[in-house]
Amino acid sequence: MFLREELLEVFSTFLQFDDVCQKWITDPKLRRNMQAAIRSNVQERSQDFWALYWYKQWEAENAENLVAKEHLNAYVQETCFWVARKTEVIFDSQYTVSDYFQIAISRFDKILHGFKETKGYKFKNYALVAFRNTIRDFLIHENEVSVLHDWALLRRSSKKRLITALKQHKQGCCDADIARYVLAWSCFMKIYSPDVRTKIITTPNKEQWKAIADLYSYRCKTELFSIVTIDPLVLEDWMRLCAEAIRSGFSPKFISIYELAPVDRSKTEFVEVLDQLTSTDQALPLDLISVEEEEEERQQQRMFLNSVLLETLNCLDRDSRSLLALYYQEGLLQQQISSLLNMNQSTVSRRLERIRRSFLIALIQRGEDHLHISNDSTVLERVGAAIEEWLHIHFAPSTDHPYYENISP
Amino acid sequence: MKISAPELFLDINPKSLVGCTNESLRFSPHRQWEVFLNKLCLETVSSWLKEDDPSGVEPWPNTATLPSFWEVVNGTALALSGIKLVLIPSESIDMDEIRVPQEWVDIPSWSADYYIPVRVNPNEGWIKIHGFARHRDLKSMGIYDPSDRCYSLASEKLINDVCLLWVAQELSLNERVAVDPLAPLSLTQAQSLLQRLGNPSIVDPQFEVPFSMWASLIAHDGWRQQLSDQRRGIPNQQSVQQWLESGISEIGRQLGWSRVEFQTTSSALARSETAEDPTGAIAFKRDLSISGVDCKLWIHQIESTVAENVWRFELRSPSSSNLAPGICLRLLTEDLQPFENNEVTSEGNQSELYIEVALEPGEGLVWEIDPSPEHYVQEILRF
Repeated sequence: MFLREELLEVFSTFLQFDDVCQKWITDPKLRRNMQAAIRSNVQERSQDFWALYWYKQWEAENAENLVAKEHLNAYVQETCFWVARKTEVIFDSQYTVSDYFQIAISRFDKILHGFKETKGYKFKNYALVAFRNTIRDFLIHENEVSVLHDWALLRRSSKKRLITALKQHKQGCCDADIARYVLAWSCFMKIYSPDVRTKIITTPNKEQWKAIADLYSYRCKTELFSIVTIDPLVLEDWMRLCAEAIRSGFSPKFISIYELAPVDRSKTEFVEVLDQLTSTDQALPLDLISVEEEEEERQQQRMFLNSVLLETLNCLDRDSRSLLALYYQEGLLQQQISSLLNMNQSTVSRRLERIRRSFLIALIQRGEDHLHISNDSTVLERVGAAIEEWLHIHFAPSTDHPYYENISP
Repeated sequence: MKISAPELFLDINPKSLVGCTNESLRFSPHRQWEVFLNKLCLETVSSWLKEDDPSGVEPWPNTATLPSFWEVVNGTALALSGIKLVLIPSESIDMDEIRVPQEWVDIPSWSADYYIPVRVNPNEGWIKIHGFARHRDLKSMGIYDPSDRCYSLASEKLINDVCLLWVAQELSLNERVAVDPLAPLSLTQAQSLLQRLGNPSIVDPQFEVPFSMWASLIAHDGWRQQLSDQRRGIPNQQSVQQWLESGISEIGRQLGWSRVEFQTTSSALARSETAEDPTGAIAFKRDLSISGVDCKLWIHQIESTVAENVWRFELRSPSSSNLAPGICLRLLTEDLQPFENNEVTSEGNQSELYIEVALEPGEGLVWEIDPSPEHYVQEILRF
């Protein structure tokens, strides 16, 4: 894979995987749109500028500007690729770079929605961390799910996950059907809990299925006012089906669909929006100066954050710094770090939390003027996210991630 | 999707695993597993919180009443200096959402600042926390699901950074929004609900009645205790008459009641604890901390004939000092209604306050003190 350098390419091409290599595919409509945008702009601008520009445009139109979204998606393609490749190196699993790439990029929508929550950081850096977390969650879950039998799996699913999985798995199934499965599942959860002495989930016996079926009928009567008797065997089948749906819900293919795969580029509405833009050759609606000002403000916040956090980092002892390096630089899971350092996972976890807390406290103490920190947990949350991003970027070795500009103080 | 900080893993202490198992076996069959998870979660999270604040972490409202919550609802509340948390244990792998029972959100006295979903994995011996929700988030962004009476909030809407809890505590942020007050229940309503819902063969008692009725019932600490005792098959623990005959009940002891024998003088009841005498009368006393000052509540029978059943409630200051002015001792009927001469207020020159009350056999009373003693819960005492 070669790197994209041209501004035009960066915002209008997508990575495509085939058996042996990856190549860049141009989306002609995006290309035309980007060309028009660049033309209308006299000064030469950086990638950061354009990223923020498209982001603002997307935001200004209540997240309905699909073109802007696609430009941003194109922009983070390498980022996603590098996260996928790194994952493949660190984790020994059946999945390829392409699988990881698909899993991560499929969450792009959610990632985009999350960006405004952070403070002072670059879109690309933010995407890096978000992609990384997405893949990790997938791997951790997948690993756990693979060793569970159906009855245990049913107990380890959230209601939300079950409903989404059923909708996907049983397409064409109406809401009322899904509600019945979910009600049956909640009766299963109520009656069929592990024995507290053994803590083991075995296969439910006949009496238990009967009790679950009875509770189901009872709940139907009190809630839906309908008299329903259900054969325990049918109920057992329903539960198998739920388990199957949950299991497939943890697979990468499902995640891609569930999380809205990158927009189908032949989608009519998308084409229409673009045609409208190019045919009328209308002036771009955004005020470029405000984007520029915002980029400047973000730049200042970045410098401030960087100086405070760097100072805090330098005050940490050697052990703490190497712990941070293992997590943020090597990209290891807490579990992997604990076996590497021969300490339990809880110790690793609590130390990481304590170190991050010291960063947070340092920023809050010094950041009142610069970061507009107030006694509001929403603001604090953004500060926390900015720290997380900074740690990832600070520890990202430049040779490994040639695309992430390290922040220069 | 927001950037999430590293998840917090905490090891479950193997000793606590055994203790929690034994404790949970004392609940009704369908509650045991959830109680087990709640207790594990409470012990593990509190021991972590105590690393930084050894004295400032306490179960809310107090340890003795936790079982009465666990029998009827999922979740455990913790008070730590200035803020209140509710831990919501779950076994879900995905942790795609937090599901908070409505009770913890909509009962005014129960609502908390923060709600923490905790993944509990007893088989592998750890718990995991990745974020938390604020009360106002649950009320504004949470989706209320009538089928299980829970507020759910998707994980991407949580605050995914445990560190922020410390800062929030430091700043004592109040994250609660106002909720509607509950409509009071009459004594007869409560009694009939208790009789019906106290039957442990009813798997989900809360779904049997409208939320408002259920909430008013269990928001009353005494009724919740009674409901939970009935469902757990524990005989009435609130009867002081029975305390006299066969000793103080378990919950009575846990709340701090102890038995005192003392010598009465013929005229008044002038006596002190030092005058305790094994041949004298019997009283029950409880230590209380009122605005940081240790006091004692005494109750004893002063008349017990067929016609008269008179009991005396006494609030006493520590030895030889006077009670602070404005402290008020109040008695209420079981359904929290005042009655004639039911309260007495300190003027600053007495070392004790007392109320004498004539009672019907089996009648219940709830005592109350202003300002509320530490860890106060409404307690029904039957005479």
